[in-house]
Amino acid sequence: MAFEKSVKGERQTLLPDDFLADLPVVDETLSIEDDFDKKLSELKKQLQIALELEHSTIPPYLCALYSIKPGTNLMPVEIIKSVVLEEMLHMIMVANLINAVGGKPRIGAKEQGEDRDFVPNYPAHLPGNVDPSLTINLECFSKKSIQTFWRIEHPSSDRNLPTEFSASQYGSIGEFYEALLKNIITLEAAAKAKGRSIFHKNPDKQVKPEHYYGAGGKLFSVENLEDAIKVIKEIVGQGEGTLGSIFSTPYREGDPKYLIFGPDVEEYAHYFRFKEVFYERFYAVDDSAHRDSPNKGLPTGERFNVDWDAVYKMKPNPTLADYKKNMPGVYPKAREFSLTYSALLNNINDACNGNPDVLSKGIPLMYQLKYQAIELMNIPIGNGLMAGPTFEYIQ
Amino acid sequence: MEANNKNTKTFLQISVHLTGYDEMDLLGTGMLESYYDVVIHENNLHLVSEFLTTSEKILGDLPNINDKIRQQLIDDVKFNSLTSNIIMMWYMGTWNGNVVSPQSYIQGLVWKAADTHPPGAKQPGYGSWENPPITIHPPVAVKPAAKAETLTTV
Amino acid sequence: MENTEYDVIIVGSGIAGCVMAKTLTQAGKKVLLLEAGLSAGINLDKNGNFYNYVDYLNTYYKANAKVPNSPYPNIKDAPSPNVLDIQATPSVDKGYYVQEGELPFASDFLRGPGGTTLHWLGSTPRMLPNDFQMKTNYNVAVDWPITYNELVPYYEMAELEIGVAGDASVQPNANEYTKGYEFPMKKIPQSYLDQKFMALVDKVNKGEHPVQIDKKKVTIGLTSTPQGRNAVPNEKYPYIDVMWNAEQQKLVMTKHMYWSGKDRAFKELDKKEKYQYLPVGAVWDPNTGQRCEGNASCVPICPVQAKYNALKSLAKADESKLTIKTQSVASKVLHNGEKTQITGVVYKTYAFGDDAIEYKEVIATAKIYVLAANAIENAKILLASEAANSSKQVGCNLMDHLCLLTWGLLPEKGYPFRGPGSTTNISSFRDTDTRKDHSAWICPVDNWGWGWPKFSPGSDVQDAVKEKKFGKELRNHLSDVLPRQLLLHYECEQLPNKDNRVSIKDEYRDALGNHRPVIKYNVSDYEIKAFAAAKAINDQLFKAAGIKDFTKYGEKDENGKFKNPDIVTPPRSKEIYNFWGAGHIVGTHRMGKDADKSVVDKNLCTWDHNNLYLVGCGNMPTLGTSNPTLTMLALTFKAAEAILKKI
Ligand SMILES: Cc1cc2nc3c(=O)[nH]c(=O)nc-3n(C[C@H](O)[C@H](O)[C@H](O)COP(=O)(O)OP(=O)(O)OC[C@H]3O[C@@H](n4cnc5c(N)ncnc54)[C@H](O)[C@@H]3O)c2cc1C
Ligand code: SF4
Repeated sequence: MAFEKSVKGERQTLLPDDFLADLPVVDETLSIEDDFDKKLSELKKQLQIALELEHSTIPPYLCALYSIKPGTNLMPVEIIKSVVLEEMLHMIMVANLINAVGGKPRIGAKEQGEDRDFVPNYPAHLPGNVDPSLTINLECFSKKSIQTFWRIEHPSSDRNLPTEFSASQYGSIGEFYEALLKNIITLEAAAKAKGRSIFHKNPDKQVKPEHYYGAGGKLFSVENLEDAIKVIKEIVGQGEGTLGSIFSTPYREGDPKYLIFGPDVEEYAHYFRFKEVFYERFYAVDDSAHRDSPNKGLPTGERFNVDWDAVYKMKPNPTLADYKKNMPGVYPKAREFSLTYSALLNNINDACNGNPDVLSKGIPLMYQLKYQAIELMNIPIGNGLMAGPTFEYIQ
Repeated sequence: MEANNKNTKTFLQISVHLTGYDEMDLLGTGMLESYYDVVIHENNLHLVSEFLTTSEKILGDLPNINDKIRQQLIDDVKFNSLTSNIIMMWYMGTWNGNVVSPQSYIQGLVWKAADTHPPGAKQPGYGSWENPPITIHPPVAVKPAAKAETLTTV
Repeated sequence: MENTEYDVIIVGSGIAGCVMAKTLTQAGKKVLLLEAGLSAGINLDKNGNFYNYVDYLNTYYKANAKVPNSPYPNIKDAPSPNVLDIQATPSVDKGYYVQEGELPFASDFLRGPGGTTLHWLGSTPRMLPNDFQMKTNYNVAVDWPITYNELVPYYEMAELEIGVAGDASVQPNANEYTKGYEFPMKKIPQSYLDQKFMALVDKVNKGEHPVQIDKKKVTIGLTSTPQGRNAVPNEKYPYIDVMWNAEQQKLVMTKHMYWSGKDRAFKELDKKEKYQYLPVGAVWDPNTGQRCEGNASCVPICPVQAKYNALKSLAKADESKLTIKTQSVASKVLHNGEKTQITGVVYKTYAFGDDAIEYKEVIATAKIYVLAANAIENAKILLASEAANSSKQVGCNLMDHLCLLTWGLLPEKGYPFRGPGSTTNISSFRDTDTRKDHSAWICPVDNWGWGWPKFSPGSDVQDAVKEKKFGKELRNHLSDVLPRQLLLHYECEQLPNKDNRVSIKDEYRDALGNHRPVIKYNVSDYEIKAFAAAKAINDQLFKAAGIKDFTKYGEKDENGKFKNPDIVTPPRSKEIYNFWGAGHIVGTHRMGKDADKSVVDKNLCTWDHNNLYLVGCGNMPTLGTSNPTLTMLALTFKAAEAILKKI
């Protein structure tokens, strides 16, 4: 639906005409007193789910990334790295959104509470009932894992949005966000009608560009509806790109909407980037993103080298309990890893709950996480398999 | 890179006592196989095999292991330079002054010992140098290893 | 003869050449850039660029001695000097330099796209106002033809171009900066080691045994070093780009106009958009290297390109106006009988054919010629061309900062081998009255242990193993010693001396038939006295601060040769001192106000040829105590402005 491209460093978000073509009609029956409050608290819950959704894909991406042997697969490494960095950025922007509507983003904090489900138990489904047929694993880089990744980022073809948000299922992350955005717009309109706003002015809680740098693109803070729309467009744009329309609208030759690749375009949606890795070649300038195009929406450009064997074959979905019981030698290293991971979640939690300055202190932890993960992946545990990072929250 | 071969295993275990790092640390570098290869290829095979046999014997006497290593691998001219080279290789990633591979440079134990990272790799991130390293471990006590640290996972 | 008519031909794609090319093409001039090094190094396609850089990095990892040039190819058709080749003089057989002086000249440079900035450290302090008037103030050396104040606007341009991170308000000459001036980025955090060291120095300053000179107490002052590596952007920094303003006939720093690479034009910033300085990342990916990530390998290579290098400037040039020819080594400029005009530049190309290297000699012409091949190569080209030398000063006055290194063990761990090479310097001896008598110095605190003089930590492991340490004892020893290493280096100002010079001799040539530099080099009592003075201060400081001194000069290797052949003894003394080269190669074609005593005028145009400009550190009449590149770049902007005025 939206796709993002960055031309010579100047980013532009290009939105096809049908993005939110039908702006939601304000629900007249929404009584600002009772229904409204209920809906708002529901929205906050949904936003927390969005946060969990953004986070849930990071450990699988990291496993694939770190499993690639150093010095090999330069392009896949660059591509996966850029995707993970964007996911981290999305997570923080969702936290901004939560703060903006007066909620409380819970990252590390949630794992300390009763409802410890911020960190998925891999193998896992995507949070929020998104594409329940999909299982995500902590596993190494392979054709199979790349396919899983593009399914995660898969544009939806089904344009029929469910009406009731919370109880429903979503075909894709994009649909999830579209429903979310509709809810935000509806609620804000209802609030506006009563001379109020769901957006709190709490700039101190917002993580701003100066707290975050580098890859992943621009960080937006959120203070009003316009910002909220911007953030969601950015998230969806980076993830899926053209979203449903490449599957749902008929192909027209030369439609510029689908000619989104080329030398000037520095980044495009994750979905397409994973396709490039899978097919071991870049999109060419005249490739179309549409699946009914002559190139079938697949990349036909310059080839690059992918060595699917230059990988640490980590045993999928490692757990601390398993190591403790069956491989006590590995356990201390796995525990160290989990401690670093937990410290990192706590750090982000702090940053998103009023201490944005501490975010930069998390960077050494992020690097440490990587080095510890790779150390684990170098340890053989029998049957030709390697140990791996245990993404578990511990204290 | 399984340490299933008996010789590799002996090499790994004696390396633990030569370097002061445990098996997981050494395996975690990912260098075991290629270092073992260097030892095989850069030396007289007969000498290597004697070295491994001696090491195996020494490893059987863990309570006195440091004394044994000193007497039999370090003070003995036969093995002295081989042993020193092995230590250098784990710490610096070099054999006789030559870097074994880009990875061997990066995986040198000396960087761990100094609580830092190899220059140009494993960067710790912006501003990290302003604070003490996040990896500071308390110094390891010097004591003879009390019980066998075996590779439980293979 | 080529028939394309260029406005300007630039020789060399180091910082001086690249910034010149960028500035001129953005002002609409047609430029030919000749570069001696390999084409791969200048790949402006982002994937090609990335792969090439990964090659550099792997070469570095594999290098046994990780010296400044270790990541980069050394080409026999355009060789670079290597610090590993430095040996006692005379020496003709080893490396690129032919050394005929009393002492070997020990600094290197890199011939390749991007030039020496690929392996520079990136420290960018300005020179102090007094540095420009050494004759007037201290009765030594010469005055510059311009003052510090005249250079200030160009300093500001240079600081934008490099992207300097620093705190202007604490610099020693802060009151001479434009009022309220800020650097583009906030200061690079000072290292934990710096903090430990500063605390020790502070105690000494305030304690019972402060450092004394001639029985008088001196306070040792430390400052954070401004540097060209990416840090947190400074929201107060207002400037966007440097732009040629044709109406005012000068270069200006813009606050609302920005260079759009896409439209190849300066454009007005969207009024709604709040401008904030954006660090310039890696050439292959603007998102990489947005901050210094603490790789601690700035010299020889910054893996993420958080450190400035000249290719970043080149990437901003107007490609449509720029022709780059690589593997093209300039050997001569041509001039007519009266010599007032340069009429062409001769360059030799080498190309890797199927089984042999193919050579060609080409002449290119333009209205204006700019030599930006660095101090040594510029001098060589001029001497080979018999150009610009009516003053007989070409090649003379070769200078460097003479680094007196001192090293010791801190009482507590400071955890070196982390962060950029240096983040703090001792600044209180940069301009004192003693300059009448001996060199002033700046003294950076090094963040990388004893790596420079001792090849730590490798030598520490080696020594410990030789002492039969092994196992936990070895490990504990290393984790005790390495984190306590402290290294200081006193960078002493060398004065110009016409006998320290670069020349050419027909018998010494490289594979292409170009001359190798023949160098005569020595240091004078003025500098040697500074070694003694600096060492005296250092010894008191170490003692009072509880830093265990390990400094040793005159060490020999297994063959009985001096490990570092740059050894001197002060007059009437038995002390010996070693000094090391700083890589600050300065002074071979100095600027001045008199045509008979200098090579270029204050606009960097040669006195002899009104269309030949020289840029680079060769122009600097004296060195001061600052790393020279920032000042040199300021002069480069001045030269660019003069050229744009002319055409
Ligand atoms: C280890 C080290 C650390 C340093 N650290 C600092 C620091 O912290 N701060 C500082 O201010 N300075 C530092 N310097 C000095 C700094 O690197 C130089 O002053 C600066 O890079 C010089 O730039 P340049 O453009 O004049 O020359 P160079 O960078 O040397 O570029 C010259 C260019 O010309 C090309 N060339 C040469 N000959 C020919 C020819 N005949 N034909 C065509 N092309 C040719 C070369 O290939 C090269 O691209 C350091 C130097 C070294 C060695
Ligand atoms: S410390 Fe590292 S990241 Fe920073 S400039 Fe130096 S090499 Fe680059």
